[in-house]
Amino acid sequence: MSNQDRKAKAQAAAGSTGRGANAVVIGGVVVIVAIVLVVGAVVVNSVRDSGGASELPQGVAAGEPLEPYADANPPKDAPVVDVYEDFRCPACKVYEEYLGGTVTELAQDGRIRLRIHLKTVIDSVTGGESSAVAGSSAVCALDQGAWTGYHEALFALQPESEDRSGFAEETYTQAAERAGLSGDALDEWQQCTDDGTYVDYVQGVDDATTEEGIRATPTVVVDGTQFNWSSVIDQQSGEVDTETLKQVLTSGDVPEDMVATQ
Amino acid sequence: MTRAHVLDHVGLVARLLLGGVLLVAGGLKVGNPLGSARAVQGYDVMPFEVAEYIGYALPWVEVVIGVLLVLGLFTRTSALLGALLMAAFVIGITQAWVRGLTIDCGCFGGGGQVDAGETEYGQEIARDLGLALCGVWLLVRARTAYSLDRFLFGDAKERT
Repeated sequence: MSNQDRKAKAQAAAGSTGRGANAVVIGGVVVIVAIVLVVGAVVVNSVRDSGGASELPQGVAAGEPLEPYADANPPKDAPVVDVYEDFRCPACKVYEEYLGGTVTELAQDGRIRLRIHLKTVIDSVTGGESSAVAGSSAVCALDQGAWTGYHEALFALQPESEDRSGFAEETYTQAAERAGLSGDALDEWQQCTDDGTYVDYVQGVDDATTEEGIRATPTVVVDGTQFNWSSVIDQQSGEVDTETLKQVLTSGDVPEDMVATQ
Repeated sequence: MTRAHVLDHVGLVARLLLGGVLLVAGGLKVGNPLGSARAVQGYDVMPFEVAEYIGYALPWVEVVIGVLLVLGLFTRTSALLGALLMAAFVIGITQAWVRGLTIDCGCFGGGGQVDAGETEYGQEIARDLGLALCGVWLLVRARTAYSLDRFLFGDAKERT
């Protein structure tokens, strides 16, 4: 046996005991890793489409805001007030408590064109999709003509803690009842909410507005200028300067010292 | 205790540090893909849609590389990927700092806008550089103590 033969034989022996098995192991691990990646990608892609029925609100395109008071027929030159909000966001609750009534009143009177962009900021902090589900339930209330009462009630019933679970199911029903829904209207609202009818729509609005650069809630934009809404709340007394608020919204002009700097 | 023995254990520490951090960071984000997407979008370096997909995939990539490093499997390749990830993070954070963005790095979940006084770019960069160095160490010397590589492939592979 030559030296070379001996080497070859040794290599063959090593191969049969180790290398062959190694190839199998390597192959197996590569396959497992590939599976993990593929599964991950699939899960990931489906995450934002899990809302069930994916309908758009009446007359609203994907990613576009709601106009809950379009019936008030504001004049063409009425200032456009864009409100970006999330039912789970604590600051949005404060905004709703202090300013919500006045803004609603102006919109109902047709003095401003109010556009609501429902966002899911807290979902992106805690995971889950409670903000989107809550937003969807509010669009269901809009379908039943109960936007104002439901909107107000749901903010009032906002959960104390910001965690993944978000709103309890019964909270929505409670808000709907407070909003005055009953009988068939309540049933239809419930069905719409249970189906998560507008979850995809709300998530789409969040995507669209985030891309535009609106990442935080609540954000109030008056004719294209971000309005520092907290500037009309007296930090000491907690009183709202309603006159100034009305002036800013109905004129469409945000004074320089009230422009938000985000 | 031989020199090789000591160096093997330094490698083990490097593996567990880089792998452990990747595993934890990925694990914390896997359950919140939207948050991860928004964090990546916050860096404002790539198209919105691309950032969304990167954000969705990143936690899984971190978990897989983290697991491989902790187990010590395909150490050199995993270390290369881990070091490249850390380098990408360092670049991302640095550009955010230079451009005056005020974001949370979103390294362990979270992310997005924060107040100007709340940014921690310095620490984040220092930490990721340290972790990148762990990866570079393993790249140079992939042989480590208690690794699956050694168990499965013996010493031969690790010397290469």
